[in-house]
Amino acid sequence: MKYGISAVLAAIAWLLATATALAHTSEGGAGGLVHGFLHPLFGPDHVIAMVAVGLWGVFLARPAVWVLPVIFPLVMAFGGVLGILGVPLPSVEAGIALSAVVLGICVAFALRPPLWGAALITGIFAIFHGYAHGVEMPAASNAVAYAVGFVIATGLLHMCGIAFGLLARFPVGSVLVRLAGALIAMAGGAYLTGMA
Amino acid sequence: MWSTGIPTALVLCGILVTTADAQAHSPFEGAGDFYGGLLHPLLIPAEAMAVVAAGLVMGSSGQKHSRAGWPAIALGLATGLLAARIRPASWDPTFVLSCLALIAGATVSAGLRPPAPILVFLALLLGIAVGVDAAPDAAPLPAWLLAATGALIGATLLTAVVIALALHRKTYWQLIAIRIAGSWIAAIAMLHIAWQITQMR
Repeated sequence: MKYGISAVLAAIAWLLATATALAHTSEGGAGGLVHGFLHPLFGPDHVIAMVAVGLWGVFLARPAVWVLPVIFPLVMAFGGVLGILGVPLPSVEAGIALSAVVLGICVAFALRPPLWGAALITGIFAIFHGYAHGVEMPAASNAVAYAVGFVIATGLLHMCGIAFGLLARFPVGSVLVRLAGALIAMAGGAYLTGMA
Repeated sequence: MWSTGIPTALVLCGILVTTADAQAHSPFEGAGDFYGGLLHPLLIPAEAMAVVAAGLVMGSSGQKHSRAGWPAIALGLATGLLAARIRPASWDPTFVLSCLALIAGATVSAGLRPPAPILVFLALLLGIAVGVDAAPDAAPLPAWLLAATGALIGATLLTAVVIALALHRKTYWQLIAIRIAGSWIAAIAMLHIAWQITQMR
């Protein structure tokens, strides 16, 4: 435990040692980082789909709960590469909205397909999400910082989903998680039909 | 479970989040030669990413591999720094850094343990690329030596810290945290490579 405390202190010291806040600038690495970090967070359709990946992972149990967060960033980055290189991808926004619908339904019904099936479903949708981030990237002031920001934000959204999904261990929590899945599917439907 | 897994993730996030844009050539204004060099591999995103990736791939490959890989990265750093002093690079080291970080990150995320000679070779290449990228601009020899020594120490220390964190994994959760970190690094590197290709057009 003493090792853990020292490591936490080291991490906190590192974070505190950063330069002054640059919340209102879009220049340089900090601007790229903030821009990249906020990009997934300011798109509600992105947010609900990423959280749904985490929620679904909990129902899928080991190893899927951790395999999906490992695979998702890689496939999302592949989608991002397509966006950066300007490779045409049709119906990106519809694909993102559809991801919320499908993933929300998977959570609501606690579906448990084989791991390859779950990876395939999330992987296909990850391409659409990555593409949307990627097309924004060429304008970013610092490409690495932008990429760091949006990959970490996406990972943290997965973690939020997993953390909330852990409530499913309890009977009432399971209902709550499945209800969250239903709400995500409905919100995705609203985006898909243009109601939101 | 909580002793190293979450702190490892926090430290790795801290490294990645606190990186800054590359400037010519101290990572921030006002840093002295030695201190500027010391912080360079920690604050320049492409270098930090490559060094963390190197540490993760070595640490997750075990103690024996780490003992062989760590001196290799230090040797590569010294070689890169000296080479850039003798003849400034005509190639973009950040592109090479991203390619090597992608290989290392993908290896970690896949849970692979490369053979020791391959790992040593990768560490050597990573060290050279980081050394060339972190090399101080043309400066009087004493100032250059201070900055180069700082960069060498900063990068090797960061590698050692990440190796130590990766070696101390004990639980399933810690193993997964390391693989997720590798996955994030590979994803970031992939995006950076694509972005750099568009800049070359």
